Amino acid sequence: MRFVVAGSSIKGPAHVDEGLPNQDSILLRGHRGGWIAAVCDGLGSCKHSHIGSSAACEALRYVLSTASASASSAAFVSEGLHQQWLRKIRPHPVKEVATTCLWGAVDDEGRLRTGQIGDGLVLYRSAGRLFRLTPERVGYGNQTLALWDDHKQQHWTHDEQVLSQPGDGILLMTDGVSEDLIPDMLPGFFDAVYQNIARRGRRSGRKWLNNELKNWSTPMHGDDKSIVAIFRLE
Amino acid sequence: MGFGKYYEDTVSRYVNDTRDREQAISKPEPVSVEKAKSEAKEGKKKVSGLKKFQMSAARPLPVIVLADTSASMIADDKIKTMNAALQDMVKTFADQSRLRAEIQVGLITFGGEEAEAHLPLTPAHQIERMEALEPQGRTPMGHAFQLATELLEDAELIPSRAYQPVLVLVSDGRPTDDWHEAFSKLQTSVRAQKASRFAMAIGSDADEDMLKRFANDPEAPLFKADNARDIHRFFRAVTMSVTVKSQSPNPDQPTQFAIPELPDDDPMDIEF
Repeated sequence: MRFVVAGSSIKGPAHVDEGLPNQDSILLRGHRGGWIAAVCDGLGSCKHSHIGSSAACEALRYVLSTASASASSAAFVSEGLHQQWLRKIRPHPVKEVATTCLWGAVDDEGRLRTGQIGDGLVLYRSAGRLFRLTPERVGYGNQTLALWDDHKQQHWTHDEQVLSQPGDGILLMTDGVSEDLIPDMLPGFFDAVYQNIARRGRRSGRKWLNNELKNWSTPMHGDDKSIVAIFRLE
Repeated sequence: MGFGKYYEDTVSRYVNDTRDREQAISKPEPVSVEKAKSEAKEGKKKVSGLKKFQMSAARPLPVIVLADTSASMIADDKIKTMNAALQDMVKTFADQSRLRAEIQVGLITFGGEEAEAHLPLTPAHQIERMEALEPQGRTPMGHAFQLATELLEDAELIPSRAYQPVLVLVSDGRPTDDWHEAFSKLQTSVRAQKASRFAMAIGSDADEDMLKRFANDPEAPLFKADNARDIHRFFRAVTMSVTVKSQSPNPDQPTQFAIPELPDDDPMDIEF
């Protein structure tokens, strides 16, 4: 089974103006013939949110590298990720490093596991049908769940599917991207990312994504922007 | 009234988009990377960018003012002062640059028999001037709460991508209608309860207990205005708080609500 992947994370104009770091982190790494990916958005209200988001990516990589995680459920992976994150953020208190975490893992047979806590958007296509993992939001854009002290299963959303056809895949994005997408055009967006990355390959696909995120067109946008994609090619 | 462009966002991010919904997209064709690269080099196939999937409207930051226009506001030029303060606030919003959100202003007035949506939510930079408010009759504050709740719950007018709305209540008297149920809905409705609420009591006849319950921002307890200058000070504080939010990298972060000092240069500034 062959995959094509790409990912990009850029600092938003607001953080550029303020001289602040990119508070998003991404992970995209080959793993035993498959791929693992994450996008994490450190909360703007936290002092060291970039450390928290980076630690979440590292925690996912660590958890999926252990033997017990390879065949385990998505919920099990999220629980392990949270425990590892708590270790990796030391000595910072959670209130300084809280972060959202959206992750996906595809093995060499196309089995997809994915999980999400907090804002952002996860889209995936399985057997040619597009799904969204992200639950319906209640209220406005000012409240989000995040990795915090205790692991609460009910704060996470998970799913497991199979990427059974060429063109199936998963897109993970932080809210800097997803909040500015036209809801009715998400299927077209997914397809455009797939077509572009499939034609370009990983390195050129990353450059293309970088360019698209840097030239974002929504007026007054300021947030950091991150997106990671894994698609099955054949 | 300038909200045409928001109608494209009439469906909030998740409405009608459940995960089991089969998307109306064509089945993708398998693509060979080598073939695709060679096609791209030869310019045979044009691939599209992502701009057409992006919102053309900025994320809104709604500011909704609930203004008492009952007959008692005539006394001591209270209504005149409030008109001027509102005008200042909107002008300041409109003059801001480096915004990270589009400030929208809505005005609900309550005076006479019922409350009225005096100004629907409108981008501040599109408001040329605020129409002067004319006081009359009783104080139907409960109806104003009802209109505010309806507005806050309307995902077509305030989409889910909006930043936390700010609700500002200004009154010099006691509600004359049955306000309890409407206030309870404002406090408990799914979306409305998430708004940030500021309140100002003008003069000694205002229902301070109720206004204290209305104000839910720990940074901004009920403000009591004893004279015209205080009304201006309160609106300046609201203006500052909203402006700081709208220019922040994260417009949802709490901001300081500081009542500014103003020069005591008006000898006619009468105590209410």
